[in-house]
Amino acid sequence: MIDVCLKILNKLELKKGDFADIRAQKGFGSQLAIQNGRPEKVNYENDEGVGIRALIDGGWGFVSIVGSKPSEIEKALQKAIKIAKATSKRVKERGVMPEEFCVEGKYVTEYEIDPREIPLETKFKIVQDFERATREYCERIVSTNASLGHWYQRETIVNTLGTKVESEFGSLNIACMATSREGDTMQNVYTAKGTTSGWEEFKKLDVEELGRNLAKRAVDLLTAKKPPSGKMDIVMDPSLVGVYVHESFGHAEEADSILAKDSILEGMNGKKLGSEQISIYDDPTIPGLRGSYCYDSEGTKTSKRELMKNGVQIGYLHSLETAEKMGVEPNGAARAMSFNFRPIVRMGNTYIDAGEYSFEELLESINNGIYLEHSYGGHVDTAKGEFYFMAQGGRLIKNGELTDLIQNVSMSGLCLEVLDRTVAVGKDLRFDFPGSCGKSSQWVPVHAGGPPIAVKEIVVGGQ
Amino acid sequence: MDEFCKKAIKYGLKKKADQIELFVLKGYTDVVQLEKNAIFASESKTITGIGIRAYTKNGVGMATTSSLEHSAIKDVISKAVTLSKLSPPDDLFSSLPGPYEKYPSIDGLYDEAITNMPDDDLPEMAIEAIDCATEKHDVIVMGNFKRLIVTESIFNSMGVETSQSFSSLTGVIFAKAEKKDDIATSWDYQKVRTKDEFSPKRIGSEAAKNAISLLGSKKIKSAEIPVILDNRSTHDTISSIIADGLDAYEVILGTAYFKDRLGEQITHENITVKDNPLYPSGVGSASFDDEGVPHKALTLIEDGIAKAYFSNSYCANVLGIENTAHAQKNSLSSKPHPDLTQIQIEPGTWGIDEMIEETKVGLLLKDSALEPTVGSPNISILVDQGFLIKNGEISHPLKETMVGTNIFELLKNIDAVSKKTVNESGYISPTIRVAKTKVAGGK
Repeated sequence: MIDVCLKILNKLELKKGDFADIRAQKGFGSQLAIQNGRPEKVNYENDEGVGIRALIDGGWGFVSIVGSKPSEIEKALQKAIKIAKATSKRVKERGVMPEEFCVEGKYVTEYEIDPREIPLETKFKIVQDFERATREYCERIVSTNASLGHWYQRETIVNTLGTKVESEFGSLNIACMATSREGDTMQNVYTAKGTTSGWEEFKKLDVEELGRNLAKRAVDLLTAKKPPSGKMDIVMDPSLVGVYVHESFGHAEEADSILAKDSILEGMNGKKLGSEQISIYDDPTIPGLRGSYCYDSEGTKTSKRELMKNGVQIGYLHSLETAEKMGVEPNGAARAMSFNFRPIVRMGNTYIDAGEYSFEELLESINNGIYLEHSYGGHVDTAKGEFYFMAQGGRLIKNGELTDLIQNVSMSGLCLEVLDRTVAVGKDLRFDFPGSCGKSSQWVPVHAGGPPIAVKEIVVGGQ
Repeated sequence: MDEFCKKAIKYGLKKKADQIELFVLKGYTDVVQLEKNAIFASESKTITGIGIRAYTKNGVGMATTSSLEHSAIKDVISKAVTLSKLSPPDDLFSSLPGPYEKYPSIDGLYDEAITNMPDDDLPEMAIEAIDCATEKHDVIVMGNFKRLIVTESIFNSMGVETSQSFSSLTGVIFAKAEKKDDIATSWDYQKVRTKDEFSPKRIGSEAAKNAISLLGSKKIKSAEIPVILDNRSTHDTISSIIADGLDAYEVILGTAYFKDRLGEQITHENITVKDNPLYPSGVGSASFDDEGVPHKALTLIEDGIAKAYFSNSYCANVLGIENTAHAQKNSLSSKPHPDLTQIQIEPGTWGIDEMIEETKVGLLLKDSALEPTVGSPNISILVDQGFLIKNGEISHPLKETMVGTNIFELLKNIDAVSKKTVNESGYISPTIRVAKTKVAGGK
């Protein structure tokens, strides 16, 4: 495929400053899901297509096609150039790409146990065991849904700067949801594991134990107290810390938002924004996590990005274009959901680094408040700096100790205030939030985490 | 293509599937992306794909491909049939639906004027929206304008053979207003099926006006006060509650809020809600659902009383109820579960000004739905766009404010429905007031 793409691209004669790239993808995968003991998804999926970008006279054009016929790719490239030219007449700020930045590389994921070689029957068994153990915990579990997804794809990226990158990679995820009910009280809980490593990661899982624990959580929450309402001090578990750092800080660190004047962190480089205990990284090079990758969707080799050091904001996430505009080196953060989308700046694996507090010390630092655990996700308005995230449940903290269970609840805060109100950072760093992040209608796999942390004065939307 | 799809059905049956369905999408979309008050990129995307659903001895297998090449389709049919043989059986499944002789005809779902738009039209519409946003207000806008043309075809081994085409124009503008350290953001959007209805000017000017109106936001103290929901907030709140509350599939799972409550009063007697996919030019309108079953209008709540579950063929067979033709696929690879098409809420008797004037202390929410948390009746939501009402007047916009309640309390506490409704391309809703709601403030 790389020769076909290069041959097409090499025919182009572009002026200095103009740019084009071709990203060809071919992937396949399976989705299995069992809901309440019945098959919900027994799916095979395959997808093949090409996404083409052109930057002409400062205007961007993007065209995607299904399939990979050379004649169709060539036509699509001409169309991308045509719409880029038309766009260039209307842009106010010209798009730019580096004049010299070229990557050549090849990456093929190495598995201990290749998920493609696992028989469907084995995959069915793990999903069925997970769902059955959850459902059979007790009668108050009214609904269960266990799923297993596998995806594998080949990607070829070439561009007019000379980049030639071929990669093959995959992902695996397993999840289970349980809903408990007693009259009008219903509680929903969820657990998930996701990896870019092989089947060995799932082989070691005791899904029946995971299922029973999940079901117990759902049932226990039925008789939990209603969550309190108002401004209060909280301790978050690593899954919530992951969502908190992703939403409250990570999105505002994406350089395309900075340049679009859509981020509260515009002009904050080098400024102290948070407690000295907080250092934040985004690192797609950590092996096996859901947001791990070698080359981004522009072919740039990715790297560990230091975003905040001891409370001081020190870096952004970049694509080729944002790095060029801000005069820094690209750091491989341009990701596209599929060939059908343009790469945009995204996170990979975002986390707060470990601190010094034990869990008991975190509770003591709060004394009275709430402990929140098991994230549901969240969202942020990066321009305004207001974020919101959800917990599946938690416990009240009284006199520095965990007491009564509370039901699901959401929290909100203002990014620039909350980072400064983080009063204690725990020791035990865990990546407990394997999720999917949405931005501009594109969903990409991410992982997030951190140690448990204590934060003062968060608004809790309880009843 | 149609002939090939019919042959493909036969091919699947020859592979020993008991029943088989093909769902085919063919179309394209053009998108203009906006950033910092200007166009910065244009996109053109192909939208094609085929989803196969096969049943063998009650086992289900599904396969999808983005290619419409005959060899690719034959391959995914073989894969779906093979998977259906490996699948554990679904003992509740009895049959795919069909055949149907007649489908309702709905005006205004496909407009050739959108298909034939010259290349310059979409960028010009986007620029018109930017100009209207920025001519009177100091705002920075971003967003996108989109044209979509798509044809959806469904074939199954029970004799369903049907096809429908849609066109649409969508515009979204996000506006940011700034005054010293104060930042406010807002948006407006419109989706239409016919070109004449599209108003880029309105999208731009409303987004800017909304953002400016939210400058000067303040934190408030926590309290238990009435909350007024504007038409969009009302529409999205009621839709989200009904979507989980009266879904026949959720009834089977045991998670529907109103399971076994048909005929019961669940909310204020002035609340009547219909799902109407037959509304001319409606963005939620279509002649048939995603299993090829002819659409019809359905009353879900009448005078506050729960009247019906919305269903698909599977749920209708399991529960022994009418198939209300609400099957919807989230993607080519998903099963078509019941979902709402186009909610229309009847007007009440209150003036909107009257509701505000009667409120001593309360909140007014604009385009901010109070949706329940996944799988739970609890509501715990950040107010995106809200204002404090003080002594019958709008006092100031809000920040760091959350609403916490649950769907049963919310429905029980609706005490006013406005006589004025807003119709947004088929989605129709009044403004409502919810008395006594827990509000958490950041002050």
